[in-house]
Amino acid sequence: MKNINSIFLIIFTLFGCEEVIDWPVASDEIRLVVEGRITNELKTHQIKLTETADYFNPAAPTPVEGATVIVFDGDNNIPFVESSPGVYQSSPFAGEVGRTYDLSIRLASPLAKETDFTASSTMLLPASLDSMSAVNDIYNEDDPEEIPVVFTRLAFWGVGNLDQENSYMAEVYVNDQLETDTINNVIVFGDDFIGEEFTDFAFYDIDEPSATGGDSITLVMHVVENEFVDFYDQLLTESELRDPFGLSSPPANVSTNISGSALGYFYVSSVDTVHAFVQDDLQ
Amino acid sequence: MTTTNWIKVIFYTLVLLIGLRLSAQKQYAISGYITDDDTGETLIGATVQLKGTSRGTISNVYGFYSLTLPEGTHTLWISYAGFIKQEVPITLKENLELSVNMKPNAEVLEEVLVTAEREDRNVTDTNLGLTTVTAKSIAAIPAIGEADLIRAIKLLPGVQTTSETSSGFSVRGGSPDQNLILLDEAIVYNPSHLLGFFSTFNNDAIKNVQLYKGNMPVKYGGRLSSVLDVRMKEGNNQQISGNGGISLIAARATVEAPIVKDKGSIILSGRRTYADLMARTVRDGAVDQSKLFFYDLNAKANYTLGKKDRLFVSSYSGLDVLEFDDDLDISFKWGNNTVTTRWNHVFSPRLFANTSFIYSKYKYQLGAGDNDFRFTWASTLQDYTAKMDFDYFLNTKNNITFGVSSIYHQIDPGTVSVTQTGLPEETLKISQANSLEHAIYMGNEQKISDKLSLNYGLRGALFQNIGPGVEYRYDQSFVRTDSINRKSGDVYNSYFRFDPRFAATYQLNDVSSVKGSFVRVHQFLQLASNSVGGTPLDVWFQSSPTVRPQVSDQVSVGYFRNLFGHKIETSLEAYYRWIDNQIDFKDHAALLLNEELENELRVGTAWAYGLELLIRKPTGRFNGWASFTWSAAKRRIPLVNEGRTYRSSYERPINVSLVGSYKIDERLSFNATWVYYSGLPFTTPTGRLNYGNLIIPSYTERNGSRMPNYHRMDIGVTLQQKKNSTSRLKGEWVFSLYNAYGRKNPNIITFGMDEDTNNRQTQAVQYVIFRWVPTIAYNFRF
Repeated sequence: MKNINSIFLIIFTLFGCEEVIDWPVASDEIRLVVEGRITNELKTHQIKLTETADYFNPAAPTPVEGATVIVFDGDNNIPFVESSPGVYQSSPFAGEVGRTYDLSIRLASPLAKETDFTASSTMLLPASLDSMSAVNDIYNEDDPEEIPVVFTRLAFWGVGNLDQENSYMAEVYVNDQLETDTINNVIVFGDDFIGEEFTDFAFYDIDEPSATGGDSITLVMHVVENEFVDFYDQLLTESELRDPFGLSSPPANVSTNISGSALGYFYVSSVDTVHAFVQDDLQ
Repeated sequence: MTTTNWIKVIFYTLVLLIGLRLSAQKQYAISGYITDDDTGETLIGATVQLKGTSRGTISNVYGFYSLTLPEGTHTLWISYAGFIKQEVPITLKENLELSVNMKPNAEVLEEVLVTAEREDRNVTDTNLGLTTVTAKSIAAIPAIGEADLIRAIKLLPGVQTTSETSSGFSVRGGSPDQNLILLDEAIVYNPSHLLGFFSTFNNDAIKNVQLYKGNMPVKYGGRLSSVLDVRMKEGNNQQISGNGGISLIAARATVEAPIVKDKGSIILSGRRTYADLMARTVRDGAVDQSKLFFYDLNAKANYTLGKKDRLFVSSYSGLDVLEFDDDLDISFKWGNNTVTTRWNHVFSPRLFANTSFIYSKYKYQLGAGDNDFRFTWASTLQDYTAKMDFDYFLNTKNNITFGVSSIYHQIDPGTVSVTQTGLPEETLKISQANSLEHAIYMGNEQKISDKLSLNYGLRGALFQNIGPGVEYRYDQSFVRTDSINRKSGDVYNSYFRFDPRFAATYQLNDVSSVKGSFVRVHQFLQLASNSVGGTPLDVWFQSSPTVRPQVSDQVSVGYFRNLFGHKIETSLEAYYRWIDNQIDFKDHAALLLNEELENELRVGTAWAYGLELLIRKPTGRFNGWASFTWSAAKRRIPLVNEGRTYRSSYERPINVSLVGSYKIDERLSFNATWVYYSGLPFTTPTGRLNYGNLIIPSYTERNGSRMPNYHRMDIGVTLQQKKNSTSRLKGEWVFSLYNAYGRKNPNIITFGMDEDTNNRQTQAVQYVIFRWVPTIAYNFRF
């Protein structure tokens, strides 16, 4: 449906003239941004703290150093230690289903006049995946006017959690490299699935296919709380070009589960993975 | 005061009035129609006055007047701007039927821009905030090719444009959906052509326009901010005549003819644009394949059955078509249709009635797709109205109006179907919403003394949600608790509301007066939109158990002063408005194809205030006006903007319009307009953050920024062809230049990633549409 918005912009650009302008942005108060996740995999988990920047500042975000980051799992405090500027890591541990994880952050110096921030998230039951197929395909092959696009079509089979309120987020690895490395590439859905083929997903790259025949594909399915999907949807809306004609939503800060003036999200997820090798049907 | 008390006050006042009449001496009524002798068109707002006094009346929207005077001999003055004033001696022994044909004043050199039917009308009238505009005056304003009613009224104080490319306008800080736009009484839901560059009103078919800025009389209701009452021409009942024109943008033609001379006439008026053909010469590529045009057709017929009855049928139909084939093949069509049938009946010399049956439809259809995939979205809004309006000219001191109306609204918010090769068609239909809107009203325009006049009344409105439809219920935290399927005809929710109206004029002397008014209005139907640009994809939704009716109270005062023997009119008006149950959309609301749109709303209060100064020279070789507005419009809605007060999207603190026309000689005239206004508030990113390798904007405040201030000058020259005494054909050339000094006024500004670089650079991009738009048009009349 977002395409409708861009239709109007296309119409507008046909008859108008478009120009990049200098827009004076009043310097905003700098706020804390939290990006953190704990899963039920046995590994070091990571929480990243950065600062917001002026809108037109192209520099990489400034890390927030020297903070005290602790996650309480109901029984124990798990310390997260700064391993590189702004990146806080735990010792290896696996999150447990049913536990609620409370994040607390104390900054060395305040941001937007605040030093203490909290967030909380509960680990839900994982999905169980059986198998997956990965087949390369070409889009626009028969249309001489269009550039053909090679992509990998994924289909997986498994069972979701019918009795549990939750949502799903799928990440994809190609030969152990995270393919969905920006968050708008991950696959998020709210509906439960069961039994047979749930749906098929495609990810593609115009210049070169992401995966060729024989490549290994891993799909990691995270089970997350529904609130994460609200956050995710808003994140996508805000990262895309907005229709200026009143059909898209009013611009606003992406919702967050971090307290106070901070932005970002802290969530826990339980995962299940499934593997496949790519079949190349292009010949 | 409670509404019940209000009813009592109004009721007793009316009883008192009628009581007063009993003590008066023997009186008779003079009544009839005032018409243009050349064409037979009735004249709206012509003055019928007892010679040498201020006692008199004006003709109503059907050209009918009634004046009650004591038995005896009198002389009447009958006048209308641009016509020769008539003196009619009468002897009153019984009720008298007197219809008057007015002769146009050929000697009048000046063009009258905004009509003053009587030279002191603006001082004496009780309608604070009323402006009357004629088609002729609209045509005298330089335009982009086509004379346009809505562009003309945007030059008045208190009326602000929402966007250069929109037919939407904002009156006193209200949103465009708070304007009741009527074409021959039919509600026009979307007055836009070509995505808003033009309005749906073909100037050739228009007779008269009245704009009430919030001080609407009791016969109007249902919209908070204003009423724009557009009346179509009836057609020449004397002889065949016509007019037309060709410009770079459009061609149009109008034919008028008597059905039976003096009895009935017909008018047909049509136009079609060819902007797409123009665009093709400028651009290439996708535009080559594109279609972009609109047409509209106005038709009206009337017939007089004896002295007491007159029938009218009028219709409008318009369609916009936009098609182009880029990466996606897109087709888009939208249009309005209206049909109005009316019956005027003179029950007695004092009681005039009009009965109307009206149908109005707004429809759009959007399709997009390619060979493998196609989606269409269609939506319709239909109104069926029946109404009766009475004018009771009780005596010289009291003109009573009363009436009833019922509207059946039928909204089909959208049906979307998606077809994809190899897959079954998928259809999504948003539930239909239906409602009934009834009203009953009574009002009186009362002359208390030579100095003091009152205009007051009460309107009762009953709004009912009626099945088929789905009723949703939500709890305090906006979580749905229930959804109930309502059967056809099931009235499942009602709102009964009272709108009291009161206005007073106190004439200080012959040339100045002070006026004050209080107006309450309720609105039951509103448009889902969160910005000012406007698209044809209108989503109207109604009050419901969840969405309470919006209500506006407005207090205004004004000082009116004519200078130099009524040659210059000035007015200064101040207003304050409170709106309760003001709706706005929550952060991240989904407006498109949302079955539960009402749950995306948040409700709060809004207020607006302003000062409006108008200086006008209505007649003379040089005429025109200057308008200055200072205003503010704010909203406070819990859960929007963190509960803090924010600017309404339609707040323009400063608004200046200068309009001038200079007639050099009988053939040549020059006109120009200049406008300046503060940019509209909008929400812009103030910072950015990184999450998941994406750059996300952050915001501090809703509507915290403003678009750049807007200013523009348009100039035009009209050259009449030499008069040929043997031919009735009159022609004129119109040359105009829109945005004469080519200022880059951005229509929109967007914020996003710079797609051309990979260095995570964000940028602001502005889109400018109109710079130096020249037009040549040839118009003719016969």
